[in-house]
Amino acid sequence: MKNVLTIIKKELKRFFTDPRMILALVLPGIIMMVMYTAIGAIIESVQKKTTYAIITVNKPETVASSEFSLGLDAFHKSLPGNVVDIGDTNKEYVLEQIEKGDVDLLVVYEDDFWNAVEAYNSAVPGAIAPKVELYFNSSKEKSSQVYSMYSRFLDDLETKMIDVNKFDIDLKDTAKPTDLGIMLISMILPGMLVIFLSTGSMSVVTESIAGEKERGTIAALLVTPIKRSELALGKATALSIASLASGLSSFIGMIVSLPSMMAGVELEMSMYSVGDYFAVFAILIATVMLVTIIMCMLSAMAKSVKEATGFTGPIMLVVVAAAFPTMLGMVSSTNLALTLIPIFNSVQCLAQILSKNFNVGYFIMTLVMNLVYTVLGVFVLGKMFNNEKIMFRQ
Amino acid sequence: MVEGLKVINLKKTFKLSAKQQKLEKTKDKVRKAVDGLSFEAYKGEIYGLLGPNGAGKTTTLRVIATLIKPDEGDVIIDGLSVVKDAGKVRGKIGFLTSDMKLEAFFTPNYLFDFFASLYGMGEEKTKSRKDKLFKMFGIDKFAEVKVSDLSSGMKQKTSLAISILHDPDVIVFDEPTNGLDVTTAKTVTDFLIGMKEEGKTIILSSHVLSLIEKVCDRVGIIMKGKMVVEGRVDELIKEKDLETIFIEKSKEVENDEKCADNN
Repeated sequence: MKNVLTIIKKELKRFFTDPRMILALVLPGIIMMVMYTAIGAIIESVQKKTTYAIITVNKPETVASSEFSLGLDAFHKSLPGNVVDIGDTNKEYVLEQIEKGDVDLLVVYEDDFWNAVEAYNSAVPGAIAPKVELYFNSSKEKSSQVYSMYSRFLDDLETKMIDVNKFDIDLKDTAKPTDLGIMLISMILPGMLVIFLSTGSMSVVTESIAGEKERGTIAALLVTPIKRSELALGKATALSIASLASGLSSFIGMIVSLPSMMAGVELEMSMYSVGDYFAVFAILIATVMLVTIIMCMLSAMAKSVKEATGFTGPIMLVVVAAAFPTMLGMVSSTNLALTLIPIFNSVQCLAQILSKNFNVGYFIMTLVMNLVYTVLGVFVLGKMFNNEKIMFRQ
Repeated sequence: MVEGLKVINLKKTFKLSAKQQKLEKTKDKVRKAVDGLSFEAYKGEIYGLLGPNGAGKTTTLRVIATLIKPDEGDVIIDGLSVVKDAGKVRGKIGFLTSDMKLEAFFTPNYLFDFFASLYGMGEEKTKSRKDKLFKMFGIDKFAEVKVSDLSSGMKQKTSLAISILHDPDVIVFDEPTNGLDVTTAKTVTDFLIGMKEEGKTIILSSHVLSLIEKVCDRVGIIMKGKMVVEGRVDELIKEKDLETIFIEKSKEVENDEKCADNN
């Protein structure tokens, strides 16, 4: 037991007296906190601006003496956006609009709804419960959101009516089978892609830059007339390619296993156009270059491969944190301010492309921002190669 | 214009970490690695740089090779300053130190071409230099073998060839015969003499005093970052050999330091 305590003491001393180790422990938390706070603030402002287009058919008339009727009216008024009643016409046209995403929800009430509810007694055999039909599109985020709000309200309303089975809620999802596949892909793939690319980058970069320092081969390069910025750019480019290859091999493995992972979901390559594939590839290249240059800078700081792995580890946590919201379907915003957040912007952009909500402005801004960060990174790496304290740290 | 190499009042300090202060039992926050060092190495001569471990030899050589910058002073190589014209200086010098290794994954042939390309050498010039140097060092026999599979001597020969592939005017070698067998060491010695005869300026740092005596025209002994003895080798060894001079000077510097500490 004494030996174990001695080991524990030594390990804790190592962790809590080495400033670099402390930084490696604390930094991911700080970065995540800053990142999520920023993302949260932006999303909140976006959500405040979200409005829904809701169409009702046979909207129950207001009954001043009924608290339920007044409650429904108040709920309709509280919804951000418009609730328009169209009587019982044009239902088919509205369903088409839901599929396209122009209308978010169609609510069809039975004729004379309040009286039908009043008259209904579930204890009477053969009595048919009044119906409320909700038509929505689960592949559209706004539609899913407003459907969820509306159905929750109706459930609460029914619960308040003492007899919990006063009416039936009939759900109608207008999403096509492939829409569900598109939604799942747009949730899972963006995050996974960026994580795979970063993992690939981490392994090749640490070996190349810190490995060269450790083995003493970088000095041979530094005595040649080649400019440090050229060396930095050359390394970053080559390592980006290697990282891309490494990440793509993982990606291909995942794509191959996707049908079995999502058994029952209709998946077809033709769900996406050639343009979609090009856009995805462009974002992947921009992302891998950025991730690689970040890894390069951290690796250049390290004396050995082991130390570099320790430095780049927290970056992986940041990547996972950036991928997490999209994987949970929590965020899908076209707010251009989000493109300022590296890595997160790529995950978001990929999610938009893969969910067929391609936004040209967001796409271009994501590419531009990643490129700007990469160029800055190459510049800093060049300076680091020129810094004797970094390159010849004892 | 200075032909060859001129080191002018070179000073370089390094910050000491708390750990290093503890190790070296000092309260000084900086260590003077090189403290006002000056010397000249002329065209067509081999200048030997001697000194005990930590004397400042490697730091001096690194400054010459533009790997690190001096705090004060300068090194002028064929009229170019290592501080102001580092990029141009790199094209003029050939540098080899035990700190520098070759990528184990590649073959000597590939590495030669790779570095030749970094020095901006054309295909034809690269080929002729490679033919000459590979033949001179016998590298052609293992040119296609990966560095990881080469012996220490083979690696050193490859490093030597690569360090001078661009035919530099000034050659700076740190311990070039370290760990080599007698035959390979002889190849290196002959090569150095050959370079000198071609009119190159050579700075040679080594602990092997017999090598210094054999190949160097002049020698400088540095201790604690300062030049303590300098002169022509043939004149210095008229009365005592280099080893005796070196040891006597070491003791003298040590005694001076003790006296300074006591005062």
